[in-house]
Amino acid sequence: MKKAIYLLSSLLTAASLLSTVQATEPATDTVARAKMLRSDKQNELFLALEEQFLPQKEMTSILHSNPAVHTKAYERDFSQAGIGYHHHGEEEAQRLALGEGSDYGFFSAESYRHLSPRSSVWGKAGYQRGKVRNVVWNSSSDLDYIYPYITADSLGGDLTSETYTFGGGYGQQRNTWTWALEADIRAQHEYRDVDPRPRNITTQLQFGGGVGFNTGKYLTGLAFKVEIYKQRGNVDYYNPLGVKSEYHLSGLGSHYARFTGNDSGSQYRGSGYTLSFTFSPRKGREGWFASAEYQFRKVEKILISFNNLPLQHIKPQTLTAHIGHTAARNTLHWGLAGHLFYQYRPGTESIVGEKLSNIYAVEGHLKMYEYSRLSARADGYVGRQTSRHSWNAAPWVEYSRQTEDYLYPKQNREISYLSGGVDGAYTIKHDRLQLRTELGAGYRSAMSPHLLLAVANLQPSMVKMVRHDYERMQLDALLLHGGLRADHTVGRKINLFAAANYHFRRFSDGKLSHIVEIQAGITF
Amino acid sequence: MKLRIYLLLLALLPLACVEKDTEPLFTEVTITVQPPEGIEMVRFQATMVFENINTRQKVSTSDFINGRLEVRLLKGLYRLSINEGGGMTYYDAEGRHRFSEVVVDNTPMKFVADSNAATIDLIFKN
Repeated sequence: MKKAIYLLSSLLTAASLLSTVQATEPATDTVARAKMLRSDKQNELFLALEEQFLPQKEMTSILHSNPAVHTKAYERDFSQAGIGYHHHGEEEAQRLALGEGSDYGFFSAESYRHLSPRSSVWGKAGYQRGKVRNVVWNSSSDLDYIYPYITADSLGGDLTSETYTFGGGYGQQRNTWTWALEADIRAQHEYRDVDPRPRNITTQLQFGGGVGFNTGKYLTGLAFKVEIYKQRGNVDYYNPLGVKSEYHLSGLGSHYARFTGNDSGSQYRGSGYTLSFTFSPRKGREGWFASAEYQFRKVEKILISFNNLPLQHIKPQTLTAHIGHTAARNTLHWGLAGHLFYQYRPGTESIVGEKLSNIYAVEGHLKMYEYSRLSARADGYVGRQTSRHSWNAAPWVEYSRQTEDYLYPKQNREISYLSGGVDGAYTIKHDRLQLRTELGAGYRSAMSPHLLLAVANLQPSMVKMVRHDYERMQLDALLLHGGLRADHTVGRKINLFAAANYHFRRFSDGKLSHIVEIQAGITF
Repeated sequence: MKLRIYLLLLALLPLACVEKDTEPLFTEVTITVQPPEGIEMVRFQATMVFENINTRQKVSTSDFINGRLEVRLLKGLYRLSINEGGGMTYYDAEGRHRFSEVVVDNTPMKFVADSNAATIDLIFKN
């Protein structure tokens, strides 16, 4: 933790010093327009904050998958550091393996600084520690990353979780092209102090670079990122009378029966790459934008306690595409975008041979599991900015379909969702105080659910687990959220802020879900 | 406009890959039982159980014809056994007509190719 804070503060201090001693870039069209709207008295940091919250920035933030686009993402320097508390409560777990919610405190910091008119640096750091409540049928971490090959037992319980994140990037513009490098690391430690006692240590490292070429009014970019993932864990029992079997799940309630028992050591090793293409306006914020991204990963589960036996692996492939247009006229601005997401996640199990001299030979592989998800989303926004207030409204609609198959014995689970809603924000600006409120409402409708289970071949307790999750999946849900943030000037280059957000879901069976997050800190 | 169409097609391209093809998961196994030396087998009637060592799933069949059995299994490592009561009628070395219950060696067998053939030695229980 201390190390993370030290590294962050070093990064921010270096960035601040460099940005102070070097000339800053002359105001661009966008900044000039913003300045015309605002009186000279107004806090420079408020302008930076306003830029961070612009709906067009949120809409085009997907382009930051190319670090070269991130290089010129913001006109103004902005740094924020804060501490907060997060509470998530579910009256009933949506997925047993994810638990009934969580409580954690966190520290987070992020910064974006121009080092010169042609270069910029950005970074982020975070730490969170808390509890995830009543996690059942999951003794592993990062469920969605390694799914379906998790280790699990029927007892479960609360998990203590702490996560460190740290990352940053640097980009530079040279004549007609821009290049940038970026790296992120996440480390996580999850454990339980009562039986069963899983202890998982996870590290995930991503690094890569991108280039962008000026093509007229637009920047056409390519980026490539590499990823390395490792999770090592085991499950202990201190009371020999209460030992429950650990299962190596294979999807939809199936499991790899031969190695059921104690988990005295397993490991997930992952690697992957992401290739992305981006197309965005070169100056200012308005115009057409598009991106396409292909991601490939391989995550392998290895049983350390069986002489490093590679038991199962997944090879998810994800394709995302976005296209949109943003525009502004005087104080009015609007935008429209379409998004496509497709993921195909095949899972393969090893055919493990006889144990000879403590070696388990892998005799072959069987692709037993398939998951796919397709979603299409359209969203837009319209808003107005003046010197004293701003507002925006952002409607959205999304269709998604997911199917999950275990090939033998044949099992299937699938469902579609149609969702829609509208989000809005209103900001009041005074010379030394800025207040931002957010409100949103939406509805998710579940369609065409289907479940086929080979119950005769499954453990009854696992059938119950799959059916529980399926019943929760097929519920409609009302989605509401609200937020409030206040920023107050306390110095020429420093503001204090306090923020609170609340998310509410009401499912069609009457069960509720709440997420409350409060945060306070400084911007500089 | 063209760009949007290309992106849409690009996004939908992998959908073509999601057709479920389960055929590579299975193997066609031919088992031939081999009576002990000096025995002339007349009829073999038994239920053979194939237990997948990894999944613990069991498949049993008694479709023996002239001591030969064809079965479709999930590729894997199998332990074979004969259910209680299964056996063979035969003529022994002295030409007497007899019936004996049989068992087979329980060393696991590997069936991972698309088709596999194995000859199993029968062991008399008595």
